[in-house]
Amino acid sequence: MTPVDLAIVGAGPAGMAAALTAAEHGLQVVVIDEQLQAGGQILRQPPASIRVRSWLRDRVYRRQQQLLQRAERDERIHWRWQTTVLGFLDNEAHDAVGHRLWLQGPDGVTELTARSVMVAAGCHDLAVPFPGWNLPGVMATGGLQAMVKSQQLVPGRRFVFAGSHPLQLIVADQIQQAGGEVAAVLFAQSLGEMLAVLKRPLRMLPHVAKLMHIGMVMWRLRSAGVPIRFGCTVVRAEGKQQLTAVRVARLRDGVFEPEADREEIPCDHLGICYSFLVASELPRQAGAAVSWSAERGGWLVDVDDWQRSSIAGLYAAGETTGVAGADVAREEGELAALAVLQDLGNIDSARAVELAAPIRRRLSGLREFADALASIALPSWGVFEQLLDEATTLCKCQGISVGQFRDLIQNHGTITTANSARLRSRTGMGLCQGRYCGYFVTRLLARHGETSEAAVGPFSARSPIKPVPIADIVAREQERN
Amino acid sequence: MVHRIQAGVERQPAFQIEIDGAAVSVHPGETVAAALLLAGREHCYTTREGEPRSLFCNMGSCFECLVDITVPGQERKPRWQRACMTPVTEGMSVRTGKCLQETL
Repeated sequence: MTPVDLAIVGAGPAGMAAALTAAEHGLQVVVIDEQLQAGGQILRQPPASIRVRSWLRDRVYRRQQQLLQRAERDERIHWRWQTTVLGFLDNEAHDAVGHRLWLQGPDGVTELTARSVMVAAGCHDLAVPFPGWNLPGVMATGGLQAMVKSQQLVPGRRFVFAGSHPLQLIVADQIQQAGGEVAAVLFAQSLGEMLAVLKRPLRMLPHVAKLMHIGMVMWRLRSAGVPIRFGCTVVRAEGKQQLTAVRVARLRDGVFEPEADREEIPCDHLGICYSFLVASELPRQAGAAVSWSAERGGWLVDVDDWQRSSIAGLYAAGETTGVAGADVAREEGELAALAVLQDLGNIDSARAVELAAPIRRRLSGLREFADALASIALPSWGVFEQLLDEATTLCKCQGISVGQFRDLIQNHGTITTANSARLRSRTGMGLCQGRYCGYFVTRLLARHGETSEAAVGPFSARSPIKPVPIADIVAREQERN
Repeated sequence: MVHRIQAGVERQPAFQIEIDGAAVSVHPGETVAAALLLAGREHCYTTREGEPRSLFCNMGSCFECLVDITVPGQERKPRWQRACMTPVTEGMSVRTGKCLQETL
């Protein structure tokens, strides 16, 4: 099989920017994504058969929209839609031929060899467990938003949003404008904690457009009579077959108020919105080094200042290296492409440094904003600790409660790592492969063992990194023989 | 209720799929997850312990929206599919709430 120069995993801002830069310099580029179109989650497009007159018209999306148009028009880029990269087939040393990937898509299971691979797989919502969170109607806020952005659907009648990330304001606004009723937007942090983002006003000056967008959204929500509250969150989802109400508790000195004082808000959909987790499974499966960050998305892929991972020929950009938003992702994608061009010998290092200079200048400012946001977008561990009630489901795939998990680690002194916990408890062995419970398994173990998350480690990521029908693998083997 | 945004949105002519025996009107490009919301049937599958699992991430990561899907002419395709990643097609039939451990 002739290798392509660069395989990019993920068609979001980082992937699109990298593809454009690499293609402009003559590399043969393949971009692989699970969706049907480019854009990633930030620009999750409506399907081609649903035409929307003025889609995502807010100014904050403008630069990303331009990037999307350029990428989609570029005929040099080869796209593979509805395709999942299942893993690297070359666990050992990277050889001269390149990396071998196996994929699952409309043609079943296939292989792809690439001289370089860039992973820009994005992130998903950090799903904080709490009593009742497995009721239908409780969703990730990003999931509700994609229904509006892409499917052009208001996915419920009456909504509550609860969490700690400002994204929930934006989604509440989009739903409210589309004709949904938003009963409340709840932030676990106090208003004072949130406003700490402004404590260095001069540094925030270049980001005034983003802050103004948040301000405008809050104003629109307030004008529509939507309560935006701080220092409280949803502590229980109620209902039999479907969510019918949420129970809200205020935090007093970090402690939830007594049961009797907690307010009930009727609603049929709840969006959970506590920050995000990075999708680093693929680089981890390849053996790339990672570092822990509770605020930036769990296990982040380590990269040098050219987005090179610890594995030769493997690059990572965007959220995969730490949640920092679409603008940072785009710049990092371009930087990674310059690194690939350098490493493949298409441009010399002096040229790469020259081309990278304006990117680095933009990045330093953008990263400042991302750092400020990360510093306020996650509540203290104490809030999570109180939500992780004994009866709360910790791992939804395998049906394991927080209490069962705590008992197990208390009774088995040998369980000190995420991997040993997985073997004993089966958390992380289900269909999501630990994408959702892994964060809390790691943090609970670190707390219990009075150690660091780094010492607990991640669940080892194994190939295939997402479930694949056995029939597809069999068909592939039959074809080969 | 759950509804389609109409202002400024053009869809192609609707067709019907079947969800748990009832006809549901859908448009090309819509996902099975959207159809489930419109039909008020968000409980996708049932765990061994009898608990519901439902639409959650809507981006193909959580695998909680697995439903039993059959399409005429594609009987050999795996039937458990993620509702959020599967576009509706003519003749599609969807079963919700089944136990994942049941043999299809």
